[in-house]
Amino acid sequence: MKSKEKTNNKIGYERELVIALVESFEKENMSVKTEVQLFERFIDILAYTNDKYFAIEAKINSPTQAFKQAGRYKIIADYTYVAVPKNRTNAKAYKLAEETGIGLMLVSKLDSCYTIEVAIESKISDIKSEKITNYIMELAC
Amino acid sequence: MKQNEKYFFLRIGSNSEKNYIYKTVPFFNAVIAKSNFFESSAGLLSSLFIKLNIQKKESSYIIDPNTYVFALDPMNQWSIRSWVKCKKGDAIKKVIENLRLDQQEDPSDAIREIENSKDKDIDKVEIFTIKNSFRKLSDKFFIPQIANQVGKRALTSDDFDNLETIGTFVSNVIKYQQTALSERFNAEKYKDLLVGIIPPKFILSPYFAITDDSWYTAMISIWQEFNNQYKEDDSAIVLLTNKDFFNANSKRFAEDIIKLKSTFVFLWISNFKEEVATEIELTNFVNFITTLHENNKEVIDLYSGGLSTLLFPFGLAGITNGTGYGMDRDIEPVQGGLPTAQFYLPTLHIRQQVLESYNLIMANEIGTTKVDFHKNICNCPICREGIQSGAIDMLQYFGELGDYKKDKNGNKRRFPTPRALERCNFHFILSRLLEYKWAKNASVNDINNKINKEIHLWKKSNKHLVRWQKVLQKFIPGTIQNGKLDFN
Repeated sequence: MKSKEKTNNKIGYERELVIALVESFEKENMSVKTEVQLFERFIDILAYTNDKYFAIEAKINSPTQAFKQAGRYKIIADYTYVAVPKNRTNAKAYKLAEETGIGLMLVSKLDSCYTIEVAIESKISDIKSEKITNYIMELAC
Repeated sequence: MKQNEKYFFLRIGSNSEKNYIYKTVPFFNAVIAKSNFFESSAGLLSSLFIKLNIQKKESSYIIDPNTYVFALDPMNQWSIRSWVKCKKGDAIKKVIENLRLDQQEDPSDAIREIENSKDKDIDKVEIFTIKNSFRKLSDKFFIPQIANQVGKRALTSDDFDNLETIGTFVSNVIKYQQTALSERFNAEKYKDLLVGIIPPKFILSPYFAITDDSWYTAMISIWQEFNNQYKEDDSAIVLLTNKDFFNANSKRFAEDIIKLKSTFVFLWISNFKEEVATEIELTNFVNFITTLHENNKEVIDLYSGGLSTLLFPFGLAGITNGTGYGMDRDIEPVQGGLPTAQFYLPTLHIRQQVLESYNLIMANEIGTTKVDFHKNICNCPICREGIQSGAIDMLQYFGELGDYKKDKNGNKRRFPTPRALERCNFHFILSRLLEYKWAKNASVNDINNKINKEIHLWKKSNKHLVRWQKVLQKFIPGTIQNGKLDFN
């Protein structure tokens, strides 16, 4: 019984992470798009208000890869985050977040309820291009 | 054919690529096309070759006999067989005829139902048969006993264990290249074109991938027979091997090739990626080229990477690039799909997807303004046209996305527009031509200085450049090693 509870609280798939994050952004009255094509790449989640864009790369494993991918999103997002299950995070993820200016979100699950906390805030992108943002959003709509 | 001349060959792999060829005619020495492409697009290629020969006033084409494909597993879909639809009632007969099956051989393995069939597919099935171009070639190249095995199994070195078989094979492959054009244009009505109906710039030996000792022995016999039969200055042997076999045998290859009569060696090392190759692999590669050059042999790279253009002053005689291929090629290609837009970074000598190239540029904080981009990234006519404010322009100009299509996994996504792909391809060819034009007259010190500058320019992405420089410095005259390295 105990082990079953443990399994239920485990986030096993990226899709599950994405759904939890989308719900959370929508609760904040933000518009959200998933799988947004950024040239040859796809952004897992793009949440936005009238003037701010947040790009999120959701990953169960391999933080290095996640931060590398998220780095590409700075071209269209003001703030970029990597989201990982809280119990899968490690010191490397914190280090990469500090080094890259990409934020770190931790997602935990308890009895079908998801909690999202910002462990490290994203720094504002210094390479965002309005022109490219508009182009990508035009294609995504 | 002159020794010490430096060649640039353009590879043509599809009909659409002829646009690039016509627009860059003055810069390259010849186009090279595979024999199976020539068989399937004879009209297009013949007229292209004749026009180029007339325009450039010399032979300007090469036909790659591409014989290695017959030694690949024919059951692979990228090989010489493919699935085609046919009427259910005709399927067995067609398979038996196409594969030349005996009565004991079962044709049913080569027949299947059509997946997701449509109305027009009623009463149809798919059959796995040899493509026409390869069937025609196998009948032209091989003795009947071997030709009849093509498509049923991969040819092996045992098929070439006697001189009579090799003699006929070599003779047929030479004749095929010599007469490919003239056979199609021998009628009186083509007499005005005669000046363009000439043999290719080089006659290439037949070749198979040397991946073990038995193929090594067979290929030595094939090369020797080729030299016995064809003694002209334009004879060239083709060496195809894989990266690991080459590294283990580069000294042996050099020693054996030096003994052959052909001056020219067309080299294809499968899956050899110059930008990720180790120092030892690169040293073996450069040492092979310099050793042959010192022994009056001229190496022409058939699939040239970024390092190759920098090897002219070290003895490389020629490079080959095409838009449809990367800067290396595997014998067993990755299955295609819809094309991606790839941007070549001439000063970093690598080609990758547009967003990746853009990120590299940003990470190194170069090319952010128009002037800086044209100074440090690329100044080809395509970039001069499209890059008006800095690197940011390249995303839309070279990476422009078109309508949704399904990818090879069946997922819908947007793919680059045809004009974005054309810009990427033109930029690639023009950049390589500009590199070639500069490098063919450069000295080893010029090359060293160029790499030095590029290492400083690409501070955060220069590992491969540092490795290349370290290797090349071993071969600069006057340095301690001075190219007299032991092969690893």
